[in-house]
Amino acid sequence: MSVSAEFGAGGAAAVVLWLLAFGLVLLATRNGTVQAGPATQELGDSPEPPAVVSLLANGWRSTAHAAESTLLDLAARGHLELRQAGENPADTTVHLTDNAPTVLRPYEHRVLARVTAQAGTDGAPIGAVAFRAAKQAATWNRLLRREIVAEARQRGLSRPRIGSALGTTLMAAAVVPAVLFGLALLTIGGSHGIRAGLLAGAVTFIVLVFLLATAVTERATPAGLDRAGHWAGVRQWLEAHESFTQLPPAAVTVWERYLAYGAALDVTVRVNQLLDFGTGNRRRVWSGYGGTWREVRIRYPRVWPGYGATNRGLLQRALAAAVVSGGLALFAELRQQSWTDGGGTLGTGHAVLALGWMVLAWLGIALAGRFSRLTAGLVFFAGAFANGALGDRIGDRALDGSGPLLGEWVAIGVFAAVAGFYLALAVLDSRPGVTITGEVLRIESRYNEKWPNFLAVDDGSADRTVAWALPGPPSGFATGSTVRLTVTPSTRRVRVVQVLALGADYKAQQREPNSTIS
Amino acid sequence: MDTMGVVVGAVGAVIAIVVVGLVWTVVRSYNRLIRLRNQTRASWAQIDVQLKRRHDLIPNLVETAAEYAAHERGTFEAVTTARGAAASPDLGTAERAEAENALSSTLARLLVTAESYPELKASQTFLRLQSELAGAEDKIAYARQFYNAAVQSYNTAQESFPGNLVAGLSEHARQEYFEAGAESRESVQVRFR
Repeated sequence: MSVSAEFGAGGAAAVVLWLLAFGLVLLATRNGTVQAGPATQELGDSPEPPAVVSLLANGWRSTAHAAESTLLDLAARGHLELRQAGENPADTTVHLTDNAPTVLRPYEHRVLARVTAQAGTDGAPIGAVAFRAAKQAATWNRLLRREIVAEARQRGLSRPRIGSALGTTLMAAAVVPAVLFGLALLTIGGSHGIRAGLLAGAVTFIVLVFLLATAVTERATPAGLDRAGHWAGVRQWLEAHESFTQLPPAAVTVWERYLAYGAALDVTVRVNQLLDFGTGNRRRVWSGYGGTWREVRIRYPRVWPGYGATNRGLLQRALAAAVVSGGLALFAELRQQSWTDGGGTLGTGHAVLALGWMVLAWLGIALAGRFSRLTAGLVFFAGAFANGALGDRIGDRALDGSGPLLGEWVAIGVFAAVAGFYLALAVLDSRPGVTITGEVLRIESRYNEKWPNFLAVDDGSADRTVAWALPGPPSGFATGSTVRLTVTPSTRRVRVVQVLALGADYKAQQREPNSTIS
Repeated sequence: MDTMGVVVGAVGAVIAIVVVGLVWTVVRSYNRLIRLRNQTRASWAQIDVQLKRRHDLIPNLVETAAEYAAHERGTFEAVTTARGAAASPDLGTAERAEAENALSSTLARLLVTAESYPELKASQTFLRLQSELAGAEDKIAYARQFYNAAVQSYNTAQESFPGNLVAGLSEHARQEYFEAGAESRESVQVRFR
């Protein structure tokens, strides 16, 4: 066996040993089984806050509904007020009260700060507490989870699954197989061997550390398991009351902390649907721009010819459509009986012209793809059909020199119209842009393309809006910022963005640019 | 197989499906009624526990108060009498609610009376009992909410189709709510925009 093979075998053995050790650690540190207590309405003399209960109820894996239950808990304690205006629980508003809290836990303070930022002095719809940016929501919820975990640890209910000493040991042990694999490729020799060795070592180490990182979570303490069993009993009790599960958020006035615990235990279905500290609904966003809270419906165009295109892009598309239209007409005029080899198929001498036709077809499909995938598909199938009809069995009608066939006329006409359409858009785009001022509601990626982004702005004039095309990353503003846009309405293209007010979301982003919280 | 046989087979299959569907619906409704009835009983048991806890506190409370306010014999007797009436095992839900509400009223009077006796107000024993009583009252209020919610679900299920048919065929009867006293009703404030 060569030295390289020996190192490789050693590396493989080290990986197996590491995985074995890691598996044993996972086995030894797995959560115990929660023994559900009897169904009870008793919360206990000094019950854990709902946020901590959510950690226990979710097997120490997540804190789903922790923020929502904390909001309800604050309402139950009189620091917030929830008012339902009509029959629909979605019309509930949240208000600050005069009963300002003196001492709050960090995560309670975080939730209250979020509500305060949205509600101000006049209150806000409960839907408005949701975040408008996914990244901001993720950061906020990660910080919230960290604060909840800290309290759970303080109460002796939770502990790290893998301690720092054990984690460091496993990470150090991951170096061994990485080095062995690296040496295996290094000993092959040459500059390629050095690079391959470094790469193999790095990849091995990264994969093993990634596995280790997945286990850096929380696990129960014996006291935590005991309390989780109690809360499982409370959950059983609450779940058994059918009407309780359908209570609206404003019912906290009557049910007080029970509703908060119901939310933490994921029993209160309706409450958990309506309260959301995540990214909310991207198509329905609450906006307070103009002084009155309104739910603005946003449309993100899927089919909008010329959406976000520049003047140059529009002219290019117009030219391409004109080339396709003219090329098809020319091809129909040029073809004649002599093109065939007598068997009904194209003669080799005229394959070049046929190739030109194919290029036209391809250009037509690419152009159609600018509208939507559906139109691209339709053009593709139409082209394939025409190609089959003209390539394999050219009919006499096609070669009798009488010009384009009916189908070809349709295609010529359609592409000519498309050329005219893009030309018209280009003319419109060359005019001075329109200025609108409003608040940024959402910034969304468009399909899988990186740019342009969808930029939804509420100018306060209507409850519906169509997202603008932002040709580049948002710079110097974020959701919640007040901006003045210079736009081309026909293509929805944003030409200029002038930031009038940064907004709370932008400031929060600057405070917590890259959170690396476990 | 002739045409007649096919028709008979198809009709038989439809009838079988309908019968199975009906049986399934009846069984499901029956089981739901049983589950809801058991929930009302469990909720009532919780009320019972909390009420007994309150009853157990009252003699000590009266005894402590009597040490400092011997002149309020009438109030103490009223509390004791109301407690005795509420603790009677033969009461139905409505009568029990009425008796407990009467007891709550007399207890409220007792606590108001205590305000006139500074030494009683300062008594640690009295303060502890008063605090425990307040805790028990809170738990009774929540237990009553749970019980009434369970009764509402149970009664609604009995009145809705097909639960009404199943309830009529089996031993299910409407349950009475455990009504709160006037003071308790007033304490709930809901403000809408």
